[in-house]
Amino acid sequence: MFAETLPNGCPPSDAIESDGRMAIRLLKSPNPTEKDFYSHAKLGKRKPESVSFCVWASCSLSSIQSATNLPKLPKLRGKDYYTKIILKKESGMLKVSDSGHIDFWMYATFDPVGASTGVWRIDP
Amino acid sequence: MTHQQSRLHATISKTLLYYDGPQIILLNGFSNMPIIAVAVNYDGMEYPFFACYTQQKHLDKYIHGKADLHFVFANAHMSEYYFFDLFEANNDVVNLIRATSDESRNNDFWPSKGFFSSNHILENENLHDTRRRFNINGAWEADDFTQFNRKMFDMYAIMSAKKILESVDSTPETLAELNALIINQSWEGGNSYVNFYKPFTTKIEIHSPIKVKSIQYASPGNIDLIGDKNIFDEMSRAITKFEQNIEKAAKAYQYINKILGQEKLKTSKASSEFSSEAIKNHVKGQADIILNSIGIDTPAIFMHSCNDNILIYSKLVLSIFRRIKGVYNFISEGRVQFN
Repeated sequence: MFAETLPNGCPPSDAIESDGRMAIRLLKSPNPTEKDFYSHAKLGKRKPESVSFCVWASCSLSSIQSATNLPKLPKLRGKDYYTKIILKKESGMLKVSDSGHIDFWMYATFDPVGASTGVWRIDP
Repeated sequence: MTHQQSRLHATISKTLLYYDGPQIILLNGFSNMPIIAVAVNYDGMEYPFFACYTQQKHLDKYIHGKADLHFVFANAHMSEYYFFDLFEANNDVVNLIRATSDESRNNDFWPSKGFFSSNHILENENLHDTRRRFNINGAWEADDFTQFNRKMFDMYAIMSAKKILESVDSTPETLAELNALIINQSWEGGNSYVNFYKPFTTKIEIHSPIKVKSIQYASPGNIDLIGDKNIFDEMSRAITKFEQNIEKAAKAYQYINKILGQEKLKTSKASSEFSSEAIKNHVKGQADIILNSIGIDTPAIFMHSCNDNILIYSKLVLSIFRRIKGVYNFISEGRVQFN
């Protein structure tokens, strides 16, 4: 049972169960809340044509440390903190791209804030 | 459509970075010139991007980590900047809106200095891969799609071979593989030609094998192919050159074809000889004309890849002519818009 209502065929067949890896999530404040892990779909944002419904319903994570440079991009400016969460088997399903981006579909029982190993400020 | 209007449309080619939605996108703009765009916040648009036309050399610098993203924007073509709303994209085509000079200078829309491609690109990712759209019109049977795609794949193989032969970066192993693929064909007509083109992408190591991305079966519709941007650009140049030189090329083709028939060399082994040196050299000259007519200015390296065997060389060039002519026929019939 996933935390969000997902479209048919989602997660895709090449998604894998979380395997204990650590992943980065950018944050606007040093005090993460559950909402920081909502997908665009759950936040009620409208989806552009080029993005699939399934990806739109996922939470973006990164498996590479240099993801902390992403706030240098205009739309991600202001995300001055990041957390590292551990993705265990019972966390959810994920799809990792070559670029290190992770589409994460979390299970309803997963608490991302509780899975956080800490919050760090990104040096400007 | 005027040039100015054409500059205001672009087709999404690739999302370079996705994090909470697309953040950096590559597009093909006017004359397939690359456009780079970053997601921004902009009133009145649902999913706004700030974009600029860029020269390939600047984009390459970013891709290879020799320059940051700020550099690419700072060197925007004509210092012109645009916005577009990704949410308004229709069949991956977006409408560009010119930014005012104040907007163009507004740091809120610019990536900060120090953002490099290493933040999202791994070394093994091929960033020359691009999607090229070919608009189609008129009546298309299922077999037409097969024929067109096959001819495009063959032409892609030809231009890949050109790139390999002309590039100083090609390894001796790759050159040897290409040479072996050419000289090990029987070149005795029929399937021997198919046997050269069909395995090309599997036998020769090219970084971006061509593939069909999508076909929109409509009139007008489109065929989207994925492959190396540089090879697609070579194909466009070859077709433009061919259009300018088609009479000369066709005359040379007919001459070689006639001579090979008279000399009974069409279905003979590659080791067969011409009846005289004069005829052989004249055939070579005509084959050079055909290659020149499609923008290959270094026929000598093609000749060298045929082990300087003029019979193999002439048959290879005839097969190249037939394939380029095959693509050109779709264009001249008005059924495919190439550029």
